[in-house]
This record gives sequence, C-alpha cells and structure tokens, in this order.
Amino acid sequence: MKKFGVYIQLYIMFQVQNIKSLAQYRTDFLMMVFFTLFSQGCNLGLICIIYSNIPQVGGWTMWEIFLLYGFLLFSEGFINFFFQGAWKITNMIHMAELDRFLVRPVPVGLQLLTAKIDFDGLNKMIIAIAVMAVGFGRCGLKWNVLKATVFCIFLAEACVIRVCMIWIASCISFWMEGKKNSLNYFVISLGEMAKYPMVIYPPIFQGIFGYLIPYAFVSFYPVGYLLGKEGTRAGALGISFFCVLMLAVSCMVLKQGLANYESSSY
Amino acid sequence: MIDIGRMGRNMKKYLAYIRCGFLEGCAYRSTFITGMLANFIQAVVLYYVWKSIFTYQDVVNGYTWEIMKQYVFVAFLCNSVFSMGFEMSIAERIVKGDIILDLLKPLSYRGMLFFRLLGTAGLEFAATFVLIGSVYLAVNGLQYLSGMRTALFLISLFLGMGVKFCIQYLFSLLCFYTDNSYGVTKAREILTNFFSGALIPLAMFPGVLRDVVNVLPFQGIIYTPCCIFIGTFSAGESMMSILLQIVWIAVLGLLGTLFGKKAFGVISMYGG
Repeated sequence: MKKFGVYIQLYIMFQVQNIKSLAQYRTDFLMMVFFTLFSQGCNLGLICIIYSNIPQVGGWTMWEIFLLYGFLLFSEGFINFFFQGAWKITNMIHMAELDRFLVRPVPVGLQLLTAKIDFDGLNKMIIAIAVMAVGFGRCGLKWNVLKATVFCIFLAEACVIRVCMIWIASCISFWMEGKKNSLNYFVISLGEMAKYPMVIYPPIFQGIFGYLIPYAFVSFYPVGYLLGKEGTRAGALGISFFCVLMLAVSCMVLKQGLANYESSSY
Repeated sequence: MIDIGRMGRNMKKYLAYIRCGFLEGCAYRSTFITGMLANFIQAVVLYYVWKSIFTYQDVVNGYTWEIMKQYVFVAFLCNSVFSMGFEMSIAERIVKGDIILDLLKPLSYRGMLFFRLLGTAGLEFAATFVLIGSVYLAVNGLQYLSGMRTALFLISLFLGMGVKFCIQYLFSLLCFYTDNSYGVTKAREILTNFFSGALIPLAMFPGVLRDVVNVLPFQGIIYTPCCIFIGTFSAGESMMSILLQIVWIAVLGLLGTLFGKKAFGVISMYGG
C-alpha cells in the first residue's frame, strides 16, 4: 500500500513538471482554448441542426443526446489532461525513446502515462460539465444522493475504460516492429458512434461496441441508466466489470509488451 | 491564378510533382487509410442516425430516405478525396527552416503544393472510389445513376478540390505567423466539415445559418457536387453552382497570392 502512495506522489511530481513546461507556450494555450470552444460548439451545433428538423432519434431527445456527448467529451478531456502519455507510446517505441524509461527505478507504466500533458483536456472537461449540466437540467431528472453517487462512479469508470482503450491500442505497437501504429486514432474515431444511442445501430455493430470495443459502456449504458431508459439496466451493471477487465488487459498488455520489446536503437 | 501562363511552360516539372505526390501517398498509405476509416465511421454513423429518423417520418426538409442514402455516401467520397491537410507539414518545415528550399525552387510555391497534392488525391480517389462505389451500389443499386449528372458531378468534384485547396493554402499561410499548426488545422477542418455539407445537407440548416452558408465558399467543396449527383439541383442550377465554384476559386486564389506575398516576407531563419 505504501508503494502506491509513493507512485501517486511521483505522478503528481511528474505532472507538475509537465505543467511548468507548458508555461512556455502561453499564446498556444489561449489559442487552444479558442479552438476547442469553437470545435465543440460546432459539434453541438450539428446536433441542434439535426434536431431542428426532427423531434427525436431512436427515442432520444436532443438533451439526452447532449448527455451522451458530455460523457464522451469528459472522458476524452480526462485522457488529454491526466494521461495524455497513453498517446505517446507508439511514437516512443518507434523512436526507441522508451529505452530511457527502462533504466529508471520507476515503473515504466507510470512514466509512460505522465510522458505528456495536454491542457486542452481541461477545456474539454469544463465544456463537458457545462453540457451535462444543461442536459440534465432540461431532462428534468430527479436527483438524490444515490443517483449523484452513481453518476460520479459511472463517469469515473467511463474515463478509465477510455484510457484503457487508448492504452491497449497504443501498446499494440510493441508487436508491430517499427510499423506505424494508427490503431489509437482508429479507436478514438470510433467514439463518433457513441454520440448516438446504441439502439439505432444494427445488431452486429451493437455487438462490436458492446463487447469488443466497449464504447457502449462509456456513454450509452450510464446515461441510459440514469435516465431510466429501457434495456440499459443490465448494461449498467456491466460497466464496473468492463472497467476492471480493461484495466487487467491493459496491465497484461504492458507486461507482455515490455517482455517482447526490442529497441530499434542500440 | 496569375501564374497560369508560367504554369503551362513548367508543366513538365509539375508532372514530376504529381508523380512525387502519388508516390508519397503510397508511402504514407497508413495515414491516409486511418483518415479514410475515421471519415467512413462518421458516414456510417450518420447513415444509421438518418435511418432511425426516417422510420418515424417520411420526409425531412424535402429529403427522403432514398435521397439521404445517396447523400451520405457521396458526401463521404467528396470528403475523402483531397483529405490530406498540408498545414501541419508546412508548419514543420517553417520551424525547421526547410521551407526556404521550397521557396527557392524555380517554380511557383503554390503550384508545387497543388500538383503534389493532386498526385496524392489521384490515389485517394481511386481507393475511396472502390470502397464507396461498392457500398453505394450495395445500398442504392444502379437506379439513380445518370450519365449526364455523373459527368457534371466529376467536374464539380474537381472544382471542389480546387476550392478546398485554396482554403487550405490560405490557412497554411497562417502558419507563417503562428507555430500552432494543430489549432490552425483543426479550425480549418471543422469549418470545412461544418459549412461544406460533409455532415448534413446544407438545406437542413435553419434560417439565418442557411443564408450565412450561402455566401461562404465552403459549400462548393461537398454540397454542390453532392446535390448535382443526387439530382436535387436542376440542370440550370447545376451550371450556376459550377460557375460559382469557379468564381470562388478565382477569388480565393487571388487572396492567396496577395496574402502569400506578405506571409513569405515574415520568415526569418537561422543558417542557410
């Protein structure tokens, strides 16, 4: 247990260093705030435009779709801000930068996770919270302590599932021997599907997103459960299970990957 | 647009760049394939969103499911061709100083960029065409195809690429002033996706926004060729919108020339 305390301390120290390095690019940061606001505005605008023509999609209203969007955006921001390093793994393996990490007396996983920070994530999380606040307000959800707790747990689990997705996709690089790995981009683009309720897709896609790449557990099941949608109760129970499973697979992939790692430098 | 005369004389050199772009496309095919797949996922998502919408109602703003089925895939085709943004690579060359090598060549900088991208676009078009053509035929069959409209569509698609290139060029010049190429690229991508009709037919935009879209050049990239292909534009309208595309290329091209002169002046470089 004491070991974990040390790791958390180390994590904070690494991230503080990362934050310091960002002070260099202050205008950059302001520009990113602007671009993120702009792009998220456009994405939400698109949903509004679709809904200005029609009342509902697959039995979901616009504000409910906003909640799906909020869950997705929050988890994305969470990766960007806290664990952006997960994105860098492919490049690090490719350029043999990983060697540097291997000789340090700190777990490689921890070093990889903190290899980078992206302040854009903070913007995204703030926007996501705003979107969800508006969405929940308009849906007329009755809040109580239990629901609030469930909401927080779901959101945290959604974040973890998503970090693990990127992590696993990036770690496939260990076996690709210098080829360019774009699986992580592919996984992130698949998130597009989770912006709309799972029920509109044919069974085969539902299977893929329910189990293979568990996006359904990032947005559809948690939001559906909170809103009391039909057929999401069983899925909501599965969120924790998938969260643990993804974590286990992530650890395994890293372990196996490192055992398999051959540096491309000397 | 001013350098057309010179362009003719230098065609042989430009042909070399087309070849170069084509080979580049082959070498970096994984980037292209990832980009295409991401776009394709978006098209599939929209396909099912619209499908579920049309189970509740037959007509949305003049669009029926039959038209929408075509629109989604044709828009994807238009969006995938010429998909590579070159802002990032330009910014990298500016930071490293390599840009000077491009500017010193005895060719127009813009022409060089254009023909290189044309080579890549040829490859992209071939790949996307095979993928989307088969999906399109599987979903829609042959019944809506018309030779005349397809010919106009190809012309309009090519002009759309021209519009897109001019817009990208203007944005890439911004990189001479800011090193944040990621933000610039993202902004351009989002603007074009949103206002070009890549995601949703522009006819569905509500009141004021529709008027705004009409005076912007973006609709020429995707919406115009799509409407020509699926037949929501009459022959007259098609001609008019093709003309509009040409006008926009001229205007944006001129802007690019003027802005380019200013932007090339600001770089200062170490070494050399």
